[in-house]
Amino acid sequence: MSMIQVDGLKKSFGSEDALRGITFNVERGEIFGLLGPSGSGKTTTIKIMTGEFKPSGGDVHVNSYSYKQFSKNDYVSSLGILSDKSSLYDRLTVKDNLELFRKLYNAPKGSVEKVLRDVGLESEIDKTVSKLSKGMKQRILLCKAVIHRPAILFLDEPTSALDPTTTEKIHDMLEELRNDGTTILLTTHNMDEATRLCDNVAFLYQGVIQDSGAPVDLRHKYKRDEVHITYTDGTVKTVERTAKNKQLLDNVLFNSEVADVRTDFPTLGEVFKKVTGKELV
Amino acid sequence: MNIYKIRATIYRDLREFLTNYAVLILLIMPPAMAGLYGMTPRLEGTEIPDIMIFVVLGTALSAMATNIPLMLYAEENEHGTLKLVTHTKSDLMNGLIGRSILTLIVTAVVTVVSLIIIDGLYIVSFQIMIGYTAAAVIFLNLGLWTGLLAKLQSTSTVYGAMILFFLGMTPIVETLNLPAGNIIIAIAGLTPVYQMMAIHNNAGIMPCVILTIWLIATVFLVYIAVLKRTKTL
Repeated sequence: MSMIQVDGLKKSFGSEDALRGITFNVERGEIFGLLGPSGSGKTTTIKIMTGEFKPSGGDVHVNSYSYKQFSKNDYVSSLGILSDKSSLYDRLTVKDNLELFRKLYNAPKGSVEKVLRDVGLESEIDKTVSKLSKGMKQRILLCKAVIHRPAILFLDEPTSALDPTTTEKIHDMLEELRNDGTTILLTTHNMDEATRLCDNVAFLYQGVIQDSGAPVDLRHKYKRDEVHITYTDGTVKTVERTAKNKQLLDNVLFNSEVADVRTDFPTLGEVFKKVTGKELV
Repeated sequence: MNIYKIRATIYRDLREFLTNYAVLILLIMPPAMAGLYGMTPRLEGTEIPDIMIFVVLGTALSAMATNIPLMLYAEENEHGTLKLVTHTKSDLMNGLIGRSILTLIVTAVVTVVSLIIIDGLYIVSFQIMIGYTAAAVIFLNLGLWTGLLAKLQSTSTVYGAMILFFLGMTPIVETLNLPAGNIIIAIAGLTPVYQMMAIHNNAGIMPCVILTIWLIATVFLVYIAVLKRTKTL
């Protein structure tokens, strides 16, 4: 059985349909990305899985629990959650904040120091949270989400508005968690992040999954067999990769008037645009 | 009941007490008031008037048992940190129990310190201790009720101030020299602190009955607040 099974999931808020019947599975130890622009239903999906919202239709199973059991303590204790509403006790130190969560989840002693080492913040342990930078706070929130080694981690835009260095550190940590067997579902509209981290992704747009699969497979699926040749005078020529154009393509590398050659291997963002007709903003 | 979560709540609240200046001021208020009252001139060999002692007791109860949980919950509601540690109804109850235990212990300690400062330990008897315990739970429940429902810290201070003045310091109405039968005296006579005074003056069973009614009513208010708060988790 998959770690997360979503089957025909629907969610309506009054007359507005946020989710219109989405279906996907996430296997154990996988990083799965839900990609889509703001308002596509990503956060709603996570909130249903964390028990904050109840679905209007369809079915959800997470770690063998049905959505009707999502309010149970042992279900909640098996999750790690990092959402846009996550916050810390500003007046307390990093140690006090993490020690609180260690005690809440009855995690072993030493867990606080270990997670701080994992994110490279062990030197900040006695600092008051209010004095930390945004990037540091985000890393501490991630520590809080994983301190009890949850089976599943839900991350809602985990690196939104963070600097590249902090983003890199968070990515490293997520990869380590995945290698340790943690199942991770994250939402993002950062295609580079999804390409780097995710084993599988689903494009969510207007409450519907438009397409899903491994990032590299999706890029292959939507590529055209074309070559874009940019000449030194700035002109760009697009040539189909066929037998008819073989000689032209063979000579490209020796043509001094050619500045750049690129195959049509789209980025995930370009795939998203091809699938939905919209830019990912 | 999850002992780890209760212990975690006590740990967090202890840290908050030490870093939250508003809470620290509340802790100092009753002993400071006791110190001030203790300095009032009186004849040698006489004791401090009972009213002053009960004003200090009422202040201790309303300042700490009510205002500490009120302020802490209001701040957590406003900043979203309550949702951080509370995902289910049982999480909310465990947090409530942990916070209540610590608040009652701190209230009791500060009350004893205040009584020592004001030379008021002579009023302590078994009946007063029962009455005090009931009153402490009543004031705690008022703090939990208003705190759980408060959305902003600023509005919570208004509720806390009202409880402090109208329920905590009610014996002060005795100093207004109002005629017997006055409605203000009649209403004040139904408040928890007045029941403690009545118990001290051996007024029979009625103060216990009134305290019991207060207890039931405030427990019900907390129950309603928990139900309402659970819906927004």
